[in-house]
Amino acid sequence: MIYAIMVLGIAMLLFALIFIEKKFPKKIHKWIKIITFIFILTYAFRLLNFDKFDNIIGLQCDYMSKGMVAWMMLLKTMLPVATIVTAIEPFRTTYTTKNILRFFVPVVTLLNIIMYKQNLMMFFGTSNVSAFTLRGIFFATELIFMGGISAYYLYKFIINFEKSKRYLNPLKCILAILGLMIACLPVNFFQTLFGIFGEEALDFNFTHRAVIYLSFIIPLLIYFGFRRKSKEECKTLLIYLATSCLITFCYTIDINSLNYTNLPLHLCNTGVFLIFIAFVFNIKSIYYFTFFVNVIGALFAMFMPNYSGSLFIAENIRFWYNHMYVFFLPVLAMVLKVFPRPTFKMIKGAIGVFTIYFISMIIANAWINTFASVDYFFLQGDTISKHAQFLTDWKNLYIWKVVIRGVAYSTSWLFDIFVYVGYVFLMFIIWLVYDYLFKAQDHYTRLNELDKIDMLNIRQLKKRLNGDLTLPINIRGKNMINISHFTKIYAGSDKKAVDNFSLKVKNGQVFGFIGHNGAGKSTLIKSLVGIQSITGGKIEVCGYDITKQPLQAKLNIGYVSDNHAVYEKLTGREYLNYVADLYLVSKQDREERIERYSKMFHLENDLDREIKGYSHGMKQKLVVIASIIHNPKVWVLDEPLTGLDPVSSHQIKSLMRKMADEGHIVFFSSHVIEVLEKLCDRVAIIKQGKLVGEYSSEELKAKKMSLEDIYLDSADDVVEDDVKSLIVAGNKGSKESN
Amino acid sequence: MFERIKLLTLLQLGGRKKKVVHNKKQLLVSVLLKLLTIVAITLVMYFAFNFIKNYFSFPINKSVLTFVLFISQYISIITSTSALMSILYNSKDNAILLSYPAKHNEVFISKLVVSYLEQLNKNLFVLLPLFISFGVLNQVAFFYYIASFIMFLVLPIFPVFIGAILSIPLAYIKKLFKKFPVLYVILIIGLIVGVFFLISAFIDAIPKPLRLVAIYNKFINGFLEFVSSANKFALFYNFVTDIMYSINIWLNSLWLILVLSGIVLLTNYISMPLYFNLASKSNEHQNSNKVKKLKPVNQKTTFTAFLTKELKLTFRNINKVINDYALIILMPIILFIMNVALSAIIVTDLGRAIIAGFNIIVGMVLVSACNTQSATAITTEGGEFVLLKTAPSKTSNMVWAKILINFIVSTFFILLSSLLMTISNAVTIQNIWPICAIMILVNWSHILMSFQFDLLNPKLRDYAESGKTDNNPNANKSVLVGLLIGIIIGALAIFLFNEDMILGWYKIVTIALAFFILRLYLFVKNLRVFFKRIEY
Repeated sequence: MIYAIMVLGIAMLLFALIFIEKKFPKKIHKWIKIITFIFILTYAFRLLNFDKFDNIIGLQCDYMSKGMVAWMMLLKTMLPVATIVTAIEPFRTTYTTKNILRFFVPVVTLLNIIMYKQNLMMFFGTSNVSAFTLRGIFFATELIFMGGISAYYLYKFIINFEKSKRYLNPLKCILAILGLMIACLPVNFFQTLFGIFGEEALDFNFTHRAVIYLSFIIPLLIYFGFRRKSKEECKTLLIYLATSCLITFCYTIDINSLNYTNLPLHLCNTGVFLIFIAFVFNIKSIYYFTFFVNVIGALFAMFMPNYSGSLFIAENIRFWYNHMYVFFLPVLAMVLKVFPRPTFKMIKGAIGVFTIYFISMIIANAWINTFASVDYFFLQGDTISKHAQFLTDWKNLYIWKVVIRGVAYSTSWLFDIFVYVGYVFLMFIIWLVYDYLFKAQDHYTRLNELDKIDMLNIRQLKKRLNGDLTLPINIRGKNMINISHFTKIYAGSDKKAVDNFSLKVKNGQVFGFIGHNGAGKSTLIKSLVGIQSITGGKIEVCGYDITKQPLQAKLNIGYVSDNHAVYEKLTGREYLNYVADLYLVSKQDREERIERYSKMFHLENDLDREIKGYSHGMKQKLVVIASIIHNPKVWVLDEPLTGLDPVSSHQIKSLMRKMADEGHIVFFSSHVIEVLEKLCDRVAIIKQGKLVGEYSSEELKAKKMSLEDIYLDSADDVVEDDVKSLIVAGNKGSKESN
Repeated sequence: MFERIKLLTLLQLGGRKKKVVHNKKQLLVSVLLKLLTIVAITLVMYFAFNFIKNYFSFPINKSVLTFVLFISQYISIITSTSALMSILYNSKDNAILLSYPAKHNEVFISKLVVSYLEQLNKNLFVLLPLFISFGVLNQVAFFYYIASFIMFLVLPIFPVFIGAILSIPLAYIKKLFKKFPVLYVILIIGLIVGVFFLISAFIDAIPKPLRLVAIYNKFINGFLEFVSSANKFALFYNFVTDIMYSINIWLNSLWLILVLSGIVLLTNYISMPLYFNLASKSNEHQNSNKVKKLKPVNQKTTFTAFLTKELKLTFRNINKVINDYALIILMPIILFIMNVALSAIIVTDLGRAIIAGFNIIVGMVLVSACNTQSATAITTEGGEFVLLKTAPSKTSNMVWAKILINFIVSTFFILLSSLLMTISNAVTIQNIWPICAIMILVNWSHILMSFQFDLLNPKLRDYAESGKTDNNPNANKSVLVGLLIGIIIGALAIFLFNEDMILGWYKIVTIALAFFILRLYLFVKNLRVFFKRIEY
């Protein structure tokens, strides 16, 4: 009779759904959701009623054969998978779960209908059961809903076969089913099939360590499996896992035996419900509460489990499932980027939820302990206080008592405050730890991205230069500096230090470069010699791209910086030899050049003294010699004459002229207009990061124009700006002093 | 005058402050974090004292407070004197500050104020938690807490002013040593001989076998006697604890004020007048007349060029080497003494595991503390880094040259420590070499980590401007991480050895090797990607 009712029920539900689809095609999804919701309630009722099956150990059962018990265990393992998929799929659909609902759920439903009587025997622990008990009726209804919904999905697959078959991936489905079977494994699975085996997970013995390792390995595997999936897919996964967590937690709960003393109000128990609510309803404050509070609580519990007996008995499996899920689900949600990284606002929200929870536990303890004995959040017992005498004293001495209608409600207020502050403090510590981990995650993501870009650039360059990276990228620019649309923006600034700057400097020239303070001269020079990166455009030195072929480009550059930093503990000669080594200069060449230039700059008697004894000018001259020790084609000098005496200044200017006459490029910046006018073949003026003009000395002479006039004309508005800013600053100062 | 001192102080503080607080919210978070840290340190101290009191039956009383206070304050005086020698006479900012329109005395006072504020900041995390945890443990009267707060403000004055006085003769002695280096060598040899005799005396004094339980009371009483006699040298710190414990408050306060006034007067009449003289001389141009012998120079590879340069710079600045490697140089002696003491104790298997693990922890803490120089290796290139950026060769080899030196020096001292451990007999020879292997591998990993900190966040400009690596965040991070790694690896070793010594060795050496390979892989990758992106 009951079998006929169930088959008929499934058929009626299927036809009803087909009818609704035909008549009201827009409302079909709504109806499926309503039916699914009723199905969830039906299942919840059965789940919260304890099965006698959960008491079976090692297949020993007096109302069923061993083979039948094993088979029923297998069915019991598959049923939650079918249930979860049926319950979630209409709300969050994926191809895999849709296919599981179409093909796996009908089979599981059919098998459970066939084994309906055996199922009832498992519920009640006797062979003498009536098919029409309340739980039996609920179970039959559950099967009808599951069968009807899955049959409808199968029907849809058949009528859209050509389209739907493209999304059919049997391997993925099998893996997902196996994964879900493990995710919501009945907690009595091991004790039913294998009896009481396995050792107690205590004192960090092998068993204890193994489950702890698993608690880290499982989320890692899930993370690596899903890290490239979309946010929605990850969220669906998390909802499935949160539901599995809820189901495994509720397996051994019997709603009929619940009372004030065994309510699931401990931190990790509440975590099971809160994680589910946070994921399903996307409530951030609850999620961050689980992220900051539950994770650490569960981790502590896993390290110090308070249970006894073999690991594989139902209660202990439940303990580990509960704590593992509560430990890793919030973390997984964060690393899979389903929830954004916490900010101060979010931690405030989490503290808010914790405060509500904490006050509730104080009230619950105060109230329930007037007629029973409970220790929710360990506020009543000595779990926490036994670790320090002062806590025991606080707990016993500072008690707040309220008498209402003759009943005394009490709480240890100072101890409660200590625990509350301590936990909030712990939340901040966890925040710092998380923050560190987030930074590490960001760093390694960036590292991998940059590494890939670098590799790709080298491959492209090799391809372009037929594998020989020593060739210039631009053969026509062999004897020149070619700056093309160069732009530089410093990190942390949105202002362009140099903007779309283009310039060509040919060999045999002394090229001068002038601009006001902060105009971008040093920025341009630093990018030209490879000290700073380039935001936009390109710079080529003797045909080599400074970014893509830095080593080849730098071989052709000699650079005198504006800070003349040298290793003061080395002698002048040692420093020059060190630089020569870096610039790959042969022994013979370096000896000849060191001798020649040291004589030229009158340094020959000081070369074997430590540099720390050198004067400013001597250091500058040493840096100049070092910069040309490799006889570079391009000699770049940043303010080379600053602070030099007239003789030294003359020596350097003569050398610059000589180098240019020998066919080198001499590129330098200076503030001294007279020097530029006398020394340079060409001069460029830079203003606020932009090239204002480029002038030939001969042209200027021919037109009888002065560089000073041109510079001052071009710099007028800059000067005006400076004067204006000075006036504003002056006004501000006078107002403040007033 | 006060306005100028205030300005000079703010100027110096502004230069030292690394993090700038932009708004009230950041200020609130920063204050909250400091507060939480103080609470955390107080709790840790409380539990530590509670543990010592309850589990070792060791009395934590006023006498012990005086002892802890005077030891910590004497250390403060030493560090403060050393810091003031640098801040007062050798600081780069002297040239700027002395040129300002302020009297030299005002510059001097502003420097003392800055030092006082720094001491106060340190004490916020040391003295204040110490006083509070002591008070809670001993359930003292409320006045104790008021006195604690006053002492927290007053006590930093002593090391600063005493440091200012002591820094003068020391500055002259330093000059003398520079002029006659032989005197310095004689002093160092004298110190080594002294330490050797002390060690020998200590080793001879250890009874064999050492039965801790049997001699426990004797040991405690002996220690208390030692505390009591040591407190005779606590001088005015006895007044401090007496005031806190409400003993002759007025009389002791008067003594304390008198001592304080004496120190202030001495500073005023001795240190202040000599300050400008010493500070200006140290900034004068020093012309070195040393001529190095000319040696034939061959062309080198970039790596050997860097290595030669590093070795020359290292050996020409022996003081820096001693500062950088002080702990690692002391490591063999410390581990030897520790193991000699431990060898006299008859221990169980667990005891053996603990001794092995403890050797790893102590060794790692000492050796990793010296890796701060790895954490500032790129930073200390300062302005010279420009040369590395413009050179047409693989200049990241510079890092490997520095790493090689650190690897060699630290490995040498770890091997030396292991050799000395074999003499001590606390750990069997079969167990010493795995300890040595673990320390070498983990230390190498830590060196690479420290380099990575600097690679990712070099403070080139700061160093180029100041020539100092004080308060370098990478160095601080390196010390903290070294401490954590040492504790974790040591605890893991104890845990694994306790299960099965031989299997434990295999496991822990494998873990250390895996850690090293992982760090090496990550470091090479970081170096490849980020070295060329360092900007100056």
